[in-house]
Parts: sequence; C-alpha cells; structure tokens
Amino acid sequence: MLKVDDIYREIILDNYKKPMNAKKLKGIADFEVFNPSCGDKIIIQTKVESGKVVDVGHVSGGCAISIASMSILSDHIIGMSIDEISRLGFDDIKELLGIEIGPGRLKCAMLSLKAVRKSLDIKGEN
Amino acid sequence: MRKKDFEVFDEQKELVYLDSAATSLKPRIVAREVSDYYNKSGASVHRGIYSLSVNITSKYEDVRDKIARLINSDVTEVIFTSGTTDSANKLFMSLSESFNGDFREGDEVIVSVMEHNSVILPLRKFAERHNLKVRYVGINDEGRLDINSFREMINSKTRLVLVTHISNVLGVINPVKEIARIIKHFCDNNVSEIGDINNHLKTPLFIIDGAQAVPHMKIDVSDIDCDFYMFSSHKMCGPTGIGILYGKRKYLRKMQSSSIGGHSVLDVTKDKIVLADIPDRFEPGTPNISGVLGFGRAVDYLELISYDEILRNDKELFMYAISEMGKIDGLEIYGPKTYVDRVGLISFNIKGDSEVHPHDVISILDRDGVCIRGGNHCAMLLLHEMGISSCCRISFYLYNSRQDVDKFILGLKKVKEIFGA
Repeated sequence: MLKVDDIYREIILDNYKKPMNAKKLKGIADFEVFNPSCGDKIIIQTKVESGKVVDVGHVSGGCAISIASMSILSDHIIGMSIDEISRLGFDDIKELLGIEIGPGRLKCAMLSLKAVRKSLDIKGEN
Repeated sequence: MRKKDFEVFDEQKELVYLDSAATSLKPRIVAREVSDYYNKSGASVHRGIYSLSVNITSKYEDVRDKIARLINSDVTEVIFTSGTTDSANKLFMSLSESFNGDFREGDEVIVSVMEHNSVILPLRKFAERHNLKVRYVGINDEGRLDINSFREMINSKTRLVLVTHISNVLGVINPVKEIARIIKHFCDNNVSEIGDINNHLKTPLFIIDGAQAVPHMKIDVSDIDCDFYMFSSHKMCGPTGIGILYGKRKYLRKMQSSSIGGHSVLDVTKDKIVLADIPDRFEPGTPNISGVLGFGRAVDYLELISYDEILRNDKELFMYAISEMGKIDGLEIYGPKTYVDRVGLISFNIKGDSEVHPHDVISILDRDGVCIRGGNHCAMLLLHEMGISSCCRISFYLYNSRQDVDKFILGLKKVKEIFGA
C-alpha cells in the first residue's frame, strides 16, 4: 500500500468522492464561480431565512481540493448568519480542511468561499 | 543524460524535471556567463569606446552572428527582444505603424487554433485595430493541422498567416514549408488580385512562432521562406528575458519600431528624427546584455551536444513514455502517438472510472520530485477545440532519461491508487 500524501488525507478524498450538499435546491437562484486557469467550477445555491443560511446546494467540478473545500464549507455554514460568513477567510478554510495549502493550490481551496460570498452578495476581499 | 552539466541536480539529485516546454533548465556554463558579465565587466554595449565597453560590444554582437548562423539569416535580420511574447507584441505593433494602409477593413488573417496566447493575443489586438477578419485553421482527429482547410481558406483578402511551428500542447510539428509553398502558389496564380503595386505588401506575410521548435531542431528560416520567425532563449537552455525576432530585410527596412529611444536613432533635431538602420532601429535603450551573452553560451552548448543527439534522446524517451503510458488504464493521451512530425511533449488526462484533475496529479507527483505541468497551457483556443478545460503535460529535453520516465510512471500509478482510479 503506497503512503498517502498529507494533502490527500482521508478527509479530502472522502469529501472529494462524496461531497456533502452536492444537490440542487428548488426555487433558489444559482451562482457560478470558475478558475479559468484550470477549469475548477462551482455552481452554488444558498437558502437564507432570517439572515441565516439554512441550506446549501452545489454542483462542483474540478480538483480534489476545490471540491473537498466546497463540501466541508457548505456543511460548516449551515446555521451561520451572513455576517458571520462574511468574516470567514483563508485561515478558516485551512482549519476546516485540516491541511497545509501551498500557494499553488490556494485558488483551488478558496474557490468555495468565493462561491459562497457571491451567492450571498458579500463584497470585498476575503 | 547530461545532468552533470546542470547545477540544479547537484543538490536535487532526485529531481525529475518534465516541464521543459514551459522553460528549460539552465546549464552551469550559461549561469557562469551571466554572472561573469556582472563580475568581470558590467560595461554597456554600443556606447563606450574604451576597451571595457568595446570588448563587451564585440562579444554581444558575436552572439547576434551566432544566432544568424543558427537560423541561416543575415545578421541584420536578427533582433533581440525580451522573449517570444515581446517579439510578437513588437512585431504586430510595428506592422500596424509601418504598413497601416495595407491592412484594410474586411481583409483577413489566417491562424491555427493551436496558437499560444503570447502570439494569438497580439494578433487579435492587431486584427481589431484594423478591422480584419480572423480565420482559424482547425485540427484533424489525430491532432494535426488541417492543411487542406488552410489551402481552401487562403484567398485574395488574406494579408497575414500566423502559425506555431510546434504546438505546446499536442507536440505536433506543423508543415511550415508546405504552408509557405501554398501561399506562394496562390500568389503566383492570382497576381492581379493581391493588392496593387503601390502596396508595400504584395503577398500575405507569413509569421511563425518557433518557441518550441528552436530548442529541438535546426531551423533554416531561408529554407522555410517565412517572413518573420520568433523564439525564446529560456526554452533552449538560455537565460530568461531574451528572445529573437527574425524578419526579412525587405520588410524590416520599411518598418518602424513600436518603441524608440537611445541607440535606435542616428540623429535628432527639433524638426526631425533620423532612424538607425536595422537591427539597431528595433533595439532602443540599454539591452539585456547578460541575457544576450548567456544566450550565446546556450547556443554553444546546444551545438556541442548537437541537434541530432537532442532529437535522438527526445525520440527514445517519447517512444518509451508512450509505451509505458499505454499500459495504464484510463489515460487519455492527446495528439499523435507516433514520433512522426512530432516532438517529445505529451499531454494527457486521467479519465476512465475515476477522473483525476490535473492539479491533483501534479501535487502528488510533486511530492516525489516529479515536475509536470497542468492547466490550459495558454492554449485556450486549442483546449476549447479539444473539448477539455485542462490537461497534464510532460515534455522532455536533453537532460531527461529513461529513469525519469520510470519515476513519472510510478507517480501516475500512485495517483491512481490514491484516487481509487
């Protein structure tokens, strides 16, 4: 059995192969984000009630890091207010994924947060 | 193969570098030439008449001679730029300024879908400036240029043809001599339709991007009979920041440079500017002296090894890699699988039961010191044509060996195991 590399620990592979919330929500607007350099793409829907996210749906295609990140983030933000979500940044993504993310994979890891912010109309740098 | 010539392998003994299509590694002698310039001279070129400057100027112009001999051109036809991208941008800006009347609204330019962004984008801006129609020659099922389509496309409105000599994704060598012949044949048979005698340009310009070609093959621009040819030093063991724009004298002499400054003029008064002759006209300002000197040393190095040997090694590694890759399920290989009109550059994806994204392939291979490339390779048009958004790529050069291929294959198998593919 070959040794599994750090970045591809079980948490990443499991979330890549079976991402959480990989579904479509009825009657909710969708938003798309895209990494043109590699083709990572996320189509996201967020259902908001009383200023809190109550459900997330996404269709994601791309590398393991981007899909795993979307899976884990989608689960994390359910129950959070838009205000709390707007304060999430790179450090939070790193902590959620539980791995070191080098500069070469930063965009992959952060695409999920970009998708969430777009769907919730959160502007500015994260 | 020649790893001992490259200092990077002294410390990184296990390095498997398979991204020479992006940039080649640089041998010791090139690095030494660059640092020698700074440590032992540092003087400028074309300016001082004291020995320190005269010596460097002489060495600098010797490199121009060397490049001219390498590509079989006249020495005045060799212009130093900062790379192929710069060559393309300078060329199209200069064509705009110099031959403005020859590119009229509705005229056409023909390019291939294989073009790298560094040349297609300057061309597209040029076409927009002059309201020209851009027509694309596609690829056939094997991934080769559809030459028949080109033959049908050329017409009396064609003002310019741009083609890459070797595709940086498909590895195919395009039939540039055949293209030149087709252009000439069309012009010979349609004299009265090609412009009028007052035009500077009586025939369509034929421009070639040779960035992937010159590192691998002996190029003879006179034999090809192209009008402009561009390539970069850093893909052929030379320093970054230096490239070449070759142009036929008959055109260059009528062209202005898109940039102007010291050294590119003979005289300046309040009323007029007298431009220098070629190539000086195209090289304003203090150039990248260490880059040129390093480039000269790189050419020496390649000539020492010989193109025959470079190609022999390239073919051997390509055949071995294709054979080994063929034994792995689910690999989708792009471009021809035979070493015919092709170089050792293989693009692929892991498809099959479990697709693995190029970024993931690269990350896993990287952990074992295997450097491959992934993404769109700045050839977005081509990838759209191929129906993919990204792919992996390996490319061989003179320092690669069969052991490198073995490590790469081992890495691919590791990727498949991790992803359960």
